[in-house]
Amino acid sequence: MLDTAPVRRKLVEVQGLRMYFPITAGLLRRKVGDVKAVDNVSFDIYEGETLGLVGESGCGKSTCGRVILRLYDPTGGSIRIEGREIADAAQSDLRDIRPTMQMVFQDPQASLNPRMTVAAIIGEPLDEHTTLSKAEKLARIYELMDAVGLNRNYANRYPHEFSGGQRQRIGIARALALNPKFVVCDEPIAALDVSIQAQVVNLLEELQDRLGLTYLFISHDLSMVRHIADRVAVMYLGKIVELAPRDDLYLRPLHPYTQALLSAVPEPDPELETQRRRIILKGDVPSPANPPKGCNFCTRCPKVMDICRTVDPAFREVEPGRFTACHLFSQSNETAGQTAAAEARQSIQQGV
Amino acid sequence: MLTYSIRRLLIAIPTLLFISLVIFLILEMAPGDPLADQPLTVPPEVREKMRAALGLDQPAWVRYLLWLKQFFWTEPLHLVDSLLGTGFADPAGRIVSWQFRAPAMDIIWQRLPQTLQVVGLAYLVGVIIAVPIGIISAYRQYSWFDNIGTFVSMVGFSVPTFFTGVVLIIVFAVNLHWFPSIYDTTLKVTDWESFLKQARQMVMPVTVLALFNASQISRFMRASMLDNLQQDYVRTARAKGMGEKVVVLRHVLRNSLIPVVTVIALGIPTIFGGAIITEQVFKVNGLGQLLITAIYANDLPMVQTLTFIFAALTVLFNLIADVLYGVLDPRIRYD
Amino acid sequence: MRLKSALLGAAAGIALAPAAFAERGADGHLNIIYWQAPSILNPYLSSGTKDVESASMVLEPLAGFNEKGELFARLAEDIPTLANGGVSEDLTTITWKLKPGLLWSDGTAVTSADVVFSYEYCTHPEGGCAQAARYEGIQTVEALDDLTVKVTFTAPKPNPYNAFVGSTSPIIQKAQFANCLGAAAPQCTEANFGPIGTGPFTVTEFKPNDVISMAANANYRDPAKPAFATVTFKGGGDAAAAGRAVLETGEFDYAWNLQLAPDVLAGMEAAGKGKVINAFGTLVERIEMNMTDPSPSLAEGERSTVKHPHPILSDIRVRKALSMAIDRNLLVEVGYGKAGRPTCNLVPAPEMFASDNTECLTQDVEGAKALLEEAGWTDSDGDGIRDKDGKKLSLLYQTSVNAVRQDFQALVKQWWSEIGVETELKSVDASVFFGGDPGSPDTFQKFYADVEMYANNFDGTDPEPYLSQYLCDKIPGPDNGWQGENINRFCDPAYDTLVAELAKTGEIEKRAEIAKKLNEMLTKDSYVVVPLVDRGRNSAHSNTLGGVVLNTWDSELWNTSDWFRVK
Repeated sequence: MLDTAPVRRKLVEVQGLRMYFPITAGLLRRKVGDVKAVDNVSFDIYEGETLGLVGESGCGKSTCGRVILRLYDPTGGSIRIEGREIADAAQSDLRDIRPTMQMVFQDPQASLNPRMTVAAIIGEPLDEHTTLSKAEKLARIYELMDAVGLNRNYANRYPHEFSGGQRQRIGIARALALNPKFVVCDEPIAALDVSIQAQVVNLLEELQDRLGLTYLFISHDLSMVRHIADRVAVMYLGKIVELAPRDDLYLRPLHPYTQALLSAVPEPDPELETQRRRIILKGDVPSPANPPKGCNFCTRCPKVMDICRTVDPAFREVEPGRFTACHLFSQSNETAGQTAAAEARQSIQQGV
Repeated sequence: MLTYSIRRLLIAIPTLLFISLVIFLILEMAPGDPLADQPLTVPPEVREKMRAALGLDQPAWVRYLLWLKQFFWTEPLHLVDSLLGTGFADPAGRIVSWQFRAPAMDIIWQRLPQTLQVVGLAYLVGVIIAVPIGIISAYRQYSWFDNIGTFVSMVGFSVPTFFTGVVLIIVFAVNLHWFPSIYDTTLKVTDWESFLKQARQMVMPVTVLALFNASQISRFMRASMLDNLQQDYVRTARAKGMGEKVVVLRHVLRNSLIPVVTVIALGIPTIFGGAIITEQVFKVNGLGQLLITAIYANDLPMVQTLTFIFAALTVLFNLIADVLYGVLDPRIRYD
Repeated sequence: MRLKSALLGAAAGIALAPAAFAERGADGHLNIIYWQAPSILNPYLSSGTKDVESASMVLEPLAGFNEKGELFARLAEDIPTLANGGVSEDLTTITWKLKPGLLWSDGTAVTSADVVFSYEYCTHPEGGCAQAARYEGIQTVEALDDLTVKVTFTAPKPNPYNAFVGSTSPIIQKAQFANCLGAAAPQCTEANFGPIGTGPFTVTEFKPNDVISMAANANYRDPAKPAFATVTFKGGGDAAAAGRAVLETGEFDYAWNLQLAPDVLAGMEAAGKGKVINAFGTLVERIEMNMTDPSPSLAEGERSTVKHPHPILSDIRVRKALSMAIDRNLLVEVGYGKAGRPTCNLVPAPEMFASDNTECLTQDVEGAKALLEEAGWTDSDGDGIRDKDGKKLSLLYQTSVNAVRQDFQALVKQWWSEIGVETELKSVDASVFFGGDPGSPDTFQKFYADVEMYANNFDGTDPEPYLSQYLCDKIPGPDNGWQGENINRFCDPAYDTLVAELAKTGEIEKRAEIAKKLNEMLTKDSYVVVPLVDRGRNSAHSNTLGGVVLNTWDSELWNTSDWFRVK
């Protein structure tokens, strides 16, 4: 790693992040348990890169994105942005760091205040965080609208007057208003037509190049992530099960869950598609309020072992730059891991 | 918006005519006799003459048409007359209340200030306290504040005003002697002392009604705030780094107020309807008491006129609420 | 005895002395509350008690009645009688003389023309005067001179004290009402809301159904009266609130007609701010027996008409048994407390007209049973209900909606079931029951029931018009639009003859004798009217209000000129 690339700066460092939502019941709303939406998650995001975060719906990936921006107060763990610890900072102290980190939301309709014009939506953070004059602000608003490809004449329109793609552009412009360094894109294309999705993704990429942005790109669309991300993290039931550079992950997934997930991606080539062998997972995702003992995936894993049902596998680097949480690759079971990896490689190659 | 409003007003005309006919027919078919409260010692021949003097010897449709003419022609003319000092209207043609033998509209005008003062103020106070309570209750959902607020508004909403009113009278007027139990409608506010007196006598009726209004509106406010607090744009606002105050007051509140403003606007006609029970309990003697006594006395012209005015106000405020919705919510356009 | 009453009178005189010597308006402000609010201050356009009594502080008749039911002169110099020649020997004229120097509150002189005008105003055919009955049988009213008015009757009038007597027949100012005759009457709002009068007070502001503000009449004939400078006459609410305002909070000085449960009233009085006063008039709660058949199987127009006598109640023994089964003392205790007393008379007062008929006051269940047996009503099938010829002794008992009346219904039903009579109860909203709407089947005049209960009384002290309600030709029926007053359809030629005799009798003792006889013919001789309770009236005044004398023969506010503040 050291010799492969110049030392890249870590922009975001997440350590042991936990986000539990209390479950209350009864007359007095007594707490009876927790929904472990994010449970002991650790990863870093390097400056200028795009980290893809994938997983099924409900796995906690959106919560994870929101917690990192402190839209929720985490239950535990550490979040450092540019070296500054924000996991336990008060909301009022966070305000001056907010411009550095922004978010693009999934539903462009719901995430825009219906009673504000485009100019007001884009300009509001400028009021809050800058001392620009009115004219300067307007200039900045127009500049942003240009940047995301919105006609300046629409500045005084309301969000409901736009199409979905245009609304997402407004959302992006809004997120960029304060020159952020880090942008969490929370399923930014999930609510859009397929034809529009590519446009928005391309816009995001283009803006990244131009402005040197760092993205956490949350999506359940594996092919889109493959297109945009540099590295990819896979989440299952509140935990990251695998984190690897994009190509490694797509070509040679290590974790059985990743393998199953990737096997579900349709191939554009009909010939290959016919050969594709899907790994069908049995059973339902367990409730995050009551995850299984041991490995979270043990109830559905095709390669489950006894140890999986008792010991929670650690999330560790098994190859340079590749992290996974699976007993198949734990030190005590190195060979098994190797075999499994080989097997996995084989299965993928068969697929390819 | 203008054409929409005009169109709505035009549609309102047949609606109101229909309403007036329905009111008339209901009153016509209702049992009762305007002379019922006259003592039994009045002989039948005299009764018959009194009925004729009230115009009751005319067939129903003649009386209805006469009322229409009186309400839509003579009364507006009279209003013009009294404003400009002209003499278009024939005073004999005005709607005459059977129990007072006086023009119904004059009495209504006379009662209006009392009702607006007490019931209107109570509504205003209700709104003023309901909105913050609703906001805080929603923002701190399930907190002790919210729980107390929920309890109080349940009480305020479900305990009838004739009960709360009498309880207040017994506690504060009979036992503590803080406030008068009977509202003095002849009191004129001329100086500080009379103002205090007026304030003292308004405390109890306004409290009772405001509690009732506030419990209703604060529930609406809370529900609407909760709806909006969960919206994505609130998260957006937070992500923008807006302060909590800005997020709640500028983003959430402004959007939450849209349905609440409508509810408030739709409630305004009830002010004019007076609070029949509360006015009776505290002897405020405004429009509500006027209506109920007119009903008891079978004073059909008065009942017909009052209920029709309430109906017209309801139609009008429905329109106002709709237009307000359009003004407040850019997503709604009437074109 | 005579000495004692003289002493009492002297004592009362001393007690009243401070007021007598007080200056007009010296006692400040008086607060009166009527829980029914006055709608109009012209008694000729509304005979509601609230309207007549509030107006009686402003408008006065020539003569009024005191608390004993005796006539006394108000605007008249004295009471015209046969003895003093004011009433002609043939009973066809009465000549009133006004007090000299009387002024209206606007300062103009009161003349005989005003008296004549009052008559014209009320008898105008298009006016719909509510007090027209007061002027019945009058041929002319003429002014002989400025202060003398002669009333000529169409026939001998043994009781000539109807017109211009009592608060329902006041003198109104001709100058004010001259343009308000007939159909124009309702348009004179200003006059109807603020009549110029001769009474102790004048109207300064009138808010209909709400409040009247009054001030002492500067031209009142007694320069020392009234003691109060201003009056607030508040209306509205309910009897409990009015009682509370006088007896508990002390905000008001006088509350009218507190129809409240006896214990509630006692509780309020315990607060010590005022006292409850009561007096009895002629209001009698009674059960009327339907002498005609109300059966729904009869054709409409024949139901409850004289064509079909009542199948059960036509037998006097049944009627008497029903009366005997009732415990009137208990009814009084339950319903009225101090404000009621049991009675067997339709005319319970004034004393000279009241028969000493007390037989019914003791309940006699066994006697009632025996009477029914004798009448042939036996319980042949053992179901507890008597029957005869296959017909059950079952009655429909109706009255108006009113808590006390429903209590009474329940009690009477219980007693009647003890003697084997089945009773079905029905209660009708008062405005319908008393509404007189010929289209409604539920009016008390239509009497589509076997027995019904209500209260009635008569104006003034003379029972003649009241007793003549039970004449044969006053039976309500489809031919007269159900407007007769002979509610129970009693018809007895002997009764009619006696009423005619009463109408010809001028001597007061003789009249009393006939009236008692008539009363007995309706009650203990025939049981077509079963009186239950003589209902008195409760009012309350604060401890600081003096001079109040409750009067049931005229307006309760008949002597407000004598009211004063106890210091």
